[in-house]
Amino acid sequence: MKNAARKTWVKVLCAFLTALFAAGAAISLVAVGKLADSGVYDGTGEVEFRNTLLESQLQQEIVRIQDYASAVENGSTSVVSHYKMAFGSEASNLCFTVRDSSGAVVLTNGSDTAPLAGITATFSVNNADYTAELAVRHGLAAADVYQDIVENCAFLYGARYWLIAAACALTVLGLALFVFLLYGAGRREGTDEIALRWMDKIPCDLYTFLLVLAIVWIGSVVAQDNWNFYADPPYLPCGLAAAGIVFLGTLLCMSWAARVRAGKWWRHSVIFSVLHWLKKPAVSLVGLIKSLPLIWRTALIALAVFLFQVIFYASRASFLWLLLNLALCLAALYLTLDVRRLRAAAQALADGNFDGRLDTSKMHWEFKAHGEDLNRIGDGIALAVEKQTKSERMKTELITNVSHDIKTPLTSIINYVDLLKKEDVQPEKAREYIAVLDRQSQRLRKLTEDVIEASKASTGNIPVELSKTDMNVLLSQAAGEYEDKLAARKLELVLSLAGAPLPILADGRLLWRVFDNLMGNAVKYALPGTRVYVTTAARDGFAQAEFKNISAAQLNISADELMERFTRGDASRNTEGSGLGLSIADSLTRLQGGQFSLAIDGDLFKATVRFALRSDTD
Amino acid sequence: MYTVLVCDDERDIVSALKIYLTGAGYRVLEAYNGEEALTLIGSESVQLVLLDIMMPRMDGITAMARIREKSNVPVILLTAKTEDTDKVLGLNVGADDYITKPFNPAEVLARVKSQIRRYMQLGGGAAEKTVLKNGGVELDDEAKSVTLDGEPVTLTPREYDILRYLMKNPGKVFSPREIYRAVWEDEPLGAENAVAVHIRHIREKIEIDPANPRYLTVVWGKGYKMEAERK
Repeated sequence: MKNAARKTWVKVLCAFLTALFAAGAAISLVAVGKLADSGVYDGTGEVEFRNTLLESQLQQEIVRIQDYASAVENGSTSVVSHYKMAFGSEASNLCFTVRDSSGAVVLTNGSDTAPLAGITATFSVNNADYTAELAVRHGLAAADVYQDIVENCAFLYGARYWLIAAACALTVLGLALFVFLLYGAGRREGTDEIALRWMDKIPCDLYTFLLVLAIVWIGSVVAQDNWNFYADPPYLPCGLAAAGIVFLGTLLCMSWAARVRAGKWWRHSVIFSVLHWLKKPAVSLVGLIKSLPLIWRTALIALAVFLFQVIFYASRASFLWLLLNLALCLAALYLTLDVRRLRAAAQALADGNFDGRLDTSKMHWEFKAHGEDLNRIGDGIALAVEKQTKSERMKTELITNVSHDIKTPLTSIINYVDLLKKEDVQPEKAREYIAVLDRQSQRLRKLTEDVIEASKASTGNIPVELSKTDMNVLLSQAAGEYEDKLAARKLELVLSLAGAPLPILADGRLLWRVFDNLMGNAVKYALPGTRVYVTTAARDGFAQAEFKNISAAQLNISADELMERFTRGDASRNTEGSGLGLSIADSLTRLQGGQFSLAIDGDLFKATVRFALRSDTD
Repeated sequence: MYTVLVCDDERDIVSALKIYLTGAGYRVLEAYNGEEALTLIGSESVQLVLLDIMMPRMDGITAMARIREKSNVPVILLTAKTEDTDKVLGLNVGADDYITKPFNPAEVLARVKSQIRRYMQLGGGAAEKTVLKNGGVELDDEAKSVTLDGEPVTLTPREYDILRYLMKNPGKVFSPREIYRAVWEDEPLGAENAVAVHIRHIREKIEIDPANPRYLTVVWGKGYKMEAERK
């Protein structure tokens, strides 16, 4: 089934079968419709059904009888002889008798004792009234329309239920084939891809338009004809039309199915192509208008609106009306000046320039109020920023001063602890206590230094002297400084420097502090016995230094948290660090215009420092 | 016996320094502000002054300037501030060295010793041509020996070569690559950090505080240099 749907000949066959079924179904349906109109399915018997039809046919003959009668009255012999022939018993099964108002027979072609159906009609010729009796001879000896009607009636009445069954069956079959064809649309043997045929490559809107046009044309041609259904059933035209419509409709649906399946069907259309073709000029036009200064843009649009009005409404407009429009355009233009001022003021605010004030003295109405509001916002922000800066500075100063004040007593502590160490303090425990004091006072010393540095680095309170620096050289220097310390912790340093120099603009002293902190971190926190990787490389216009090591403690916090002040990989605070190293490294890197980032992957700790590469010559 | 004047408003610090300096064989005079220090320098023979910067009555910088008006005795500043600007200011008004608080006693002793040696040897025998001299560091190319404030320093041949190369051009910055080429007479090929390691070892031998070198300084991201002697 699936494979059959992919075969071309199967599809062609199915399409023709569908058309054929459609033709059959259409014929059946039309017949059923006609029968239903005649009340066949409402209990009308065959004779009544037939006679009704014969009577309606007889009604149509009255005109001819009248014509015949008037020809006789007027003595028009050629017409009389024509009718004599036409109504002869060999040519017609119609028998009629025309009487005048007195009841005398004026004209007759014989009579039938047991006619199949009959009617009586009146008409007048030359102001004389006549009565006509028309009947169908029961023998139906002549091969005329009455014979056809009787035969067709007998056939259709006999087949009335079969016709319903046929209509249903053929419709169901046709629909099934249709669904099958839709399934097969776009599929081809030997490939899973959707294959488009030549007709699927016709722009979809054009294709649809042409097919729908053809279908409508067929439909209209069939509908226009006024068929005498029972006398001459239009089986062939009905069938052909239905077959044609269904065939074309199936083609259309299949093509759509294939296109939708292939995706982006709209791209293959005349409308899309036109829009696509128009897109570039439209975009560039919009861009051009957008790029114009506000005033010119407004003037251009106002002018366009004005011209549009002049061209399209001028016939109906008075001079005053045009003058009013011109005035409105000019007013809009004038107000644009205010808008431009507001825009410039808002832009200045957005750019962080809170000092500039907008001169509102020449502005109007709401624009003036808005401008004053902008000024107030600017003042408010400037005040807030000033306060913020002041409080930051005070905080930094406080931290620095307190730390400096701590240093003096700390000096005494360190010195006296050192003196104690040299004394022969007797209980062994006392010496252990002194060792603790020694260790902790050294830690306090490091901590005060780090606190000062961190507070200064984070507020940018450090002089930065940027100069041309080679990251490779700095890294090799840092590696040299730390080789012994790393070796003492059984850490192997794997240094791989980029082949070419990595010239950057940085403050070597501060950048060394960054690398110092990172290497110090490795010494403090890396798992002894592992390797520490330090790599430099040029990447996307950046000089990049990477520090990677395996943490001894589990790094169960995020990289962001790790960079925050006073956070360390190990939850305990027993080691020598202050927890400020990464924060300082981050601040110092950014002070120099570099980028600092951390990444944690399991126990792998990775820090990356990036600086924009400078050319060797500048 | 040399006399050292210790001046700090913190009595505990003065006492601690007195204990260390006395233990090292110096006579110690105590002062608790700049005025007292100036009076003592006027009345006693002092070979070295340890001067705190932040003091009441007269601060260390003022006292420093006043001392220099009448004496060229070596002065080591004690400062709680680590900022470079403070160090530069101190050195500019005539200090010979500085120690940042909190300091280690060993470091103070080393610096005191170094300064007194240099002060006492001032005007000593003129250096011969084969002797390279920079501050307290002397390199005798004939004897292949190096002394620091008169005391011999043991360097490996590589370290000696590097030091000699840098001392020949004081104040000039050499990149690790240049140093490698000159000393190893070979292309470095990824071995630049060997230079860094050797330089660190040299610093540990000739500097009192290797992290804050006075002679062999690191120009980060560029190279190394032997500081030109301050006049």
